[in-house]
Amino acid sequence: MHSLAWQRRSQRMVIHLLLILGSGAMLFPFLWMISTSLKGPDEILSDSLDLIPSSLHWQNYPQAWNAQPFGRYFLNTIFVASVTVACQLFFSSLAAYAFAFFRFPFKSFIFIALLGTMMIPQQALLVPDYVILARLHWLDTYLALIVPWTASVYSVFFFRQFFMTLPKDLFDAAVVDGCSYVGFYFRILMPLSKPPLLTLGIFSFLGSWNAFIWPLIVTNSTHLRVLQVGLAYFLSEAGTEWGLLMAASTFSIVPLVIAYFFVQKKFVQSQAMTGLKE
Amino acid sequence: MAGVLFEAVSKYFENVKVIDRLSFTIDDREFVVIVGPSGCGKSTSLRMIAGLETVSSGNVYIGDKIVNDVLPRDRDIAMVFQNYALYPHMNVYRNMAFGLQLRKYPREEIDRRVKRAADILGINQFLDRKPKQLSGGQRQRVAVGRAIVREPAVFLFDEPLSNLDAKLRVQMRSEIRKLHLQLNTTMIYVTHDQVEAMTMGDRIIILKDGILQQVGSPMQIYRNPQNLFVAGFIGSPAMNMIPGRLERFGDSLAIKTSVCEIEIKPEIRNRFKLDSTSNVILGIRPEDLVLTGNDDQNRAFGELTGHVDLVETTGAESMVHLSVHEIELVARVTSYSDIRHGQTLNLVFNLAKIHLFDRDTQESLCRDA
Repeated sequence: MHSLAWQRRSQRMVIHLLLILGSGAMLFPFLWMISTSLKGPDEILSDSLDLIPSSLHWQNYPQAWNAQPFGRYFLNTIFVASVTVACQLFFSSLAAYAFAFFRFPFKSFIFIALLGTMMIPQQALLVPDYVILARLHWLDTYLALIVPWTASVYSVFFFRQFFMTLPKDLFDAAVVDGCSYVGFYFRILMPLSKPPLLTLGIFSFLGSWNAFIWPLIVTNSTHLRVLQVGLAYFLSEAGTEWGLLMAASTFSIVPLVIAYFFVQKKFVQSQAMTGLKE
Repeated sequence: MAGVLFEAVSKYFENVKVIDRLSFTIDDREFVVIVGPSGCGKSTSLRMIAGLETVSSGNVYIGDKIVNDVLPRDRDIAMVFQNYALYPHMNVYRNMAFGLQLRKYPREEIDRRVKRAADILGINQFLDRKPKQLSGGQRQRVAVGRAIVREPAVFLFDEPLSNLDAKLRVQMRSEIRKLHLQLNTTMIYVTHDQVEAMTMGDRIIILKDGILQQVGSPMQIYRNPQNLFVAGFIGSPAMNMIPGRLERFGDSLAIKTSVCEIEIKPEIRNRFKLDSTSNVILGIRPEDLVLTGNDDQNRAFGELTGHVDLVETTGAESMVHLSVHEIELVARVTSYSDIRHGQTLNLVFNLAKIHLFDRDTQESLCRDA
C-alpha cells in the first residue's frame, strides 16, 4: 500500500513538473515582452538578461499609443475579426450541413478536393489572390480584408465531423415534423452546435486578430490599417524601437487576454467535447 | 384516417435493388407489422411511406392519393424512430409542440393537444425536462407523444422498442397496442422481432431480401406458412425441418426421412398438393412433437427415439433439444415433465399438424397456404 501511494504521488509530481516547465516556456516570451516594454533603450540593448527593469519607463506606453492612430487600428481589427468570424461560421457550417446530411453527385470527390486545398501553403496563394482582388477593384478596401476569409476548409471539415456525430434520425424527425431544410439548420442544427461554433469562433478570431501579411499587402491607407500592421511601424531600417514596439504589442493583446478569461472554461470544455456524442 | 397501398413498388440504392415490386394493402385503422431479418427492406418501405426515401418505380398511396412526390410534411403521417430522435436542446413540451408550432397552430390548441397526449402517456410531470434527464422508456413515450399530438392519418413506428430492456419492451408493446385501440388510427410498425410482430399486429407483412413472403393475420401465418423461410422465421423456437422423400405404394403414400417413416392417411393427404413432388421437407412445430413417455425398449409403432442434448426451462414450459440420428429436433413440453440431459425419450408427430414443403421451390405444399 505504501509503495502504491508513493508511486501515485511521484507520478503526479512528474506530471506537475512537466506542466510547470511547459507553462514556463509558454509564458516566458510574454513576460519578456512586458519587461522590455518597461525598459529604457539603453537597458534593452545591453547584455543584461534581467526580467525586472532597473528603472520603469512607463512613458513607453503613451508614446507608443500616440505614435500611430492605434484607436483606429483597434476598431478596424475588431470590425474585421468580428465580421470574418460571423461569416466564416455561417458559410462553413452551411457547407458542412450539405456534406453531412445530403446526398448529391460527386459528394466525396468534392469533399476530398476541398480537403486537398489545405495542403497548399498560404504563401503560394498570395499572388493569385492579390491578382483576383485587384481585378475586382477591391484592393485597399474592407472587402479585401474580410471576403477571402469568410469560408475556411478547416472549419467545414470540423463542422462536418461534428454533424456526423448527430443522429441522422434527428434530421428525419424534423422533416416529418414539417421542418424545411433551412428550418432544420436554424432551429435544430445550430442550437446543438455550440461546441464547434465556440471553438472555431475562437480560432478564427485569433487568426484574424493576428493576421499580418495579408492586411499588409492588400491595404495602403492608414484608415484601413489593422493592429499587426500598425505594430510594424516601429520596425524600420534605421533601427527598431523595441521599447515602443513591446509596449504596443502588450496593449494589442490586452482585449484577447480579457476575452479569454471570460470564455476560458467554455473554451476548454468545447475542446474536450467536440468529439463526444451525447 | 387513411389506408396505405403499395403498388409494385421497387427501390434501388445506386444499382442495388432493395425492394422488388412490392405490393400490399393496409386498411384504414389497421395495425400492421412489417417484419423480416435485417436488410430485408422493411425500414426502407416504411421510410418510403414517410417520404424520407424516394420511390424508384411503382406507386405509394396514402388514402386514395399517390404520394410519390409529396413532401413528408404534407403526407399527414407521424413517425416514431428507433433512437427516439428527440431534440436534445428542447424540453419535453417543446419537443411535442414543435411540429404543431411549425404548422402555425394557435397556442391554446397546441397546449390542449400536448397536455392530452401527456395525459394518455403519463408524462405530465416531465414536460419541463430535457430528454437527457429522462430514462429510455420515458424518452420513447415522449417520442410517441410527439406523434400523437399531430393527430396524423397514419402512424409509423420504426423499431421503436429495440433500445429498451426486455421488461420495458413487453410493457411498451401492450401500451402501443392499447394506444391503437384508443386512437383508432392506421398504424404501421416495423420490427425484426417476430414475437413483437405476432403479439401486436392485426396483420403481419413478412419481407425477405426486398421480396414479399407472406401477408396475413398472426395465426394464419403461424398455422399456414407459405414457404420455408416464413415457417422458420415465425415461431420461437423455430419449426423443426426434416428432409425426406415421398414414396408411393399403389394407393398409399408415405414420407421417408432419415429419422422415421410416416404413412400419410387420405384425410391428411387431402390437405396437400402432392402430385408431382417427391423431394420434400417435413415441418413440425415444437409443440406438435409429442413425448410419449415410453422408454426405448417399449417403442410403439410410429414412435421415434431421441437423445436429450439440452433442456431449456422458461418457467411454464421447457424446450427439449433432442438428436435423432443426425437430425436435431426441439420439443415444447410443460415444465412439470421431469426430463434431464442425457436421457433417451420416445416421441411421435401430431400428424394433423405436419407441414410439407417442396425441397426445390421451398414453397408450402399445403392447399390452404
